[in-house]
Amino acid sequence: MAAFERADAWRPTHALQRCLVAVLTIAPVALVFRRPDLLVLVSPLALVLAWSLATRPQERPDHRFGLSHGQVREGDQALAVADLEPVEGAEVLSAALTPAPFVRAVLRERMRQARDSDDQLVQRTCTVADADGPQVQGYRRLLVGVRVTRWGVRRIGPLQVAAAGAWGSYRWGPLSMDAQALRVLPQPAAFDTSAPAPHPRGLVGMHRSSRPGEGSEFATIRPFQVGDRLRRIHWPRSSRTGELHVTSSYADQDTHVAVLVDAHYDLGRSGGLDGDVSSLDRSVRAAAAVAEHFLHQGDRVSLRVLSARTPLVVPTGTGRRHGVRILDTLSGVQASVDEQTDPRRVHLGIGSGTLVVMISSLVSPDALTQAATLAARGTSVVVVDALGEAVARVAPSGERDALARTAWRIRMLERDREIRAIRAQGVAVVPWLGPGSLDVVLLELARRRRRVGA
Amino acid sequence: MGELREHWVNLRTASPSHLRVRLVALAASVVFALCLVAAGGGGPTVWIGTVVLGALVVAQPAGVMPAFFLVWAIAAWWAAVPGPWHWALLPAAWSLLLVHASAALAASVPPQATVPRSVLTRYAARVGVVAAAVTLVWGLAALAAAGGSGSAGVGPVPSIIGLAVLAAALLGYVRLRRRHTAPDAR
Repeated sequence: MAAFERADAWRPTHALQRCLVAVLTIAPVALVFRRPDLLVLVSPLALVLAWSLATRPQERPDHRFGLSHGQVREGDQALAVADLEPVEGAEVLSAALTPAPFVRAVLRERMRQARDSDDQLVQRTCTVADADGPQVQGYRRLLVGVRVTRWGVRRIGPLQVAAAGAWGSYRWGPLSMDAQALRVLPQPAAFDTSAPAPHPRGLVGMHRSSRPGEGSEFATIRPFQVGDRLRRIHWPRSSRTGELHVTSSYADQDTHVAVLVDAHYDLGRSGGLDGDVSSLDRSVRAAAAVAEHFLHQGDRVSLRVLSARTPLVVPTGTGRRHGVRILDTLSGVQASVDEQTDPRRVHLGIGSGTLVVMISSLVSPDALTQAATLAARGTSVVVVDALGEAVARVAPSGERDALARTAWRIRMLERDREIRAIRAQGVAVVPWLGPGSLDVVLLELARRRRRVGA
Repeated sequence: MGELREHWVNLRTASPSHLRVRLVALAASVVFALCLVAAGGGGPTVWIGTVVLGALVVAQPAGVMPAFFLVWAIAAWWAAVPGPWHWALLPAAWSLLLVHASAALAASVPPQATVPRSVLTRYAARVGVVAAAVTLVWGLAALAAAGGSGSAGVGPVPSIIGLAVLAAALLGYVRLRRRHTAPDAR
């Protein structure tokens, strides 16, 4: 508290003290020893001292801190906005953000990379402004540009603000202001699929139904029936036959896609959007991509996160706002293993006809158990292996320990066996490869359904 | 050791504009050393010591290093230059002003931040104003020195004034310390 009070006041700096000491020691010496040259040498410091004392700031600047955005996407930029009141006598205002993980400074000048005494990369998250610049509501605005490189709730700050008087002789601050939370939505990985959903059942969407109805895809030309729309009359055929004919189409349907994210473990070290990717990074970004893709097609999408710490659920919905809601929920995912709950007894609330896309690193057997349980009920399940080809790159925690390495290799062998076993039960397991990852599986599921229907 | 590393990291990661502000102190210390040479005072040790201290001001503008530099420079002049006046006094005084202003500005802003042009312009203008006033003082000192025996004609008055100022300075310093170290000091 005392430190805060000391900071929240205008205090003399080393610059003022050295002027004072120099003047008060050199001037008497010059007079005593009759050396006017020493008086000339000390005269600039005397003038600076007089100037500083005459313009000493008295009022404490009012200050506040906020962020330009409430939420951004991974890799996007945001601004930390510090508002400082330019009180009389304050000339130079400055603000500096405390470095935080996955928060990078937006550089305006070239800077060398260097590490501080804590072995952290030095970030240029600070700014300086002249107090005499343009004001916003009576405050001088200081902007610190930051780029957030990983999804989640990121702490921006604490922010330190300070002000200096004339000749840097008095300083107010640095005063710390509490950190602000910035929600960072995952950047969906590149994903696209041209394969149809296996169980379209809804009324609107982009999947072609096998039944005729209101849609965009041509089915046939048939005789006019009561209730047909006049704009569907096919005039060439009608004039040839002398009887009214209309064009009919297949109905367009949507489906329910349930995205399950296995967040029991986060393997590997995340380096943000431009660096290494952890297994949870891949899972979350893949889930975002799958959800965005199916929502864009007009399908209904729900989300469920399997994690002891963040068991998040987003009910079925559609549209852009629902997509943002899913991304917002994904940004809150935290890895945590749940060893208390039997995965076979968990009710996921997934009905028949739902396409389940489970995204998992498949390290925890729970996810595989749940996938097998769902498949046994006749639900179409596609398991996306988020670890995929990254298995070799993802190092276990004790990578330098030979025993840990061996244990990791044994676990990977077990994992391969579990994947083979679940495939044998009819659950498709595909590695996450971005665009087209699910095409083969979805085509196969659709074919299987048609065979069953026939 | 950790503090030294912080200074080194700050120097390495300082923005170009901040680095330029700091380097003004080094340039000014070189000018002061040249003034000493021109005034015929000191020797290589003093000259090199002045430049080295100037380099240390660049490394640590926020600490006591600028004060060390000022004390060293004025003491070197006092000890090495016979006085009471020399034309090189003017550039020497200007260089002390530049060292002080450069260190004060560098200490006022975070090293990694870009120093705005308006702030640099303001400091440059102020240094110009003070430098002009110093030129006036230098001219007056020249007139006093050319007037003959300088202050010898007024007897012990300057010495008495000097001692009085010194006593007042000590008293003022003690009072200032007491005010800033008091529990309710703000």
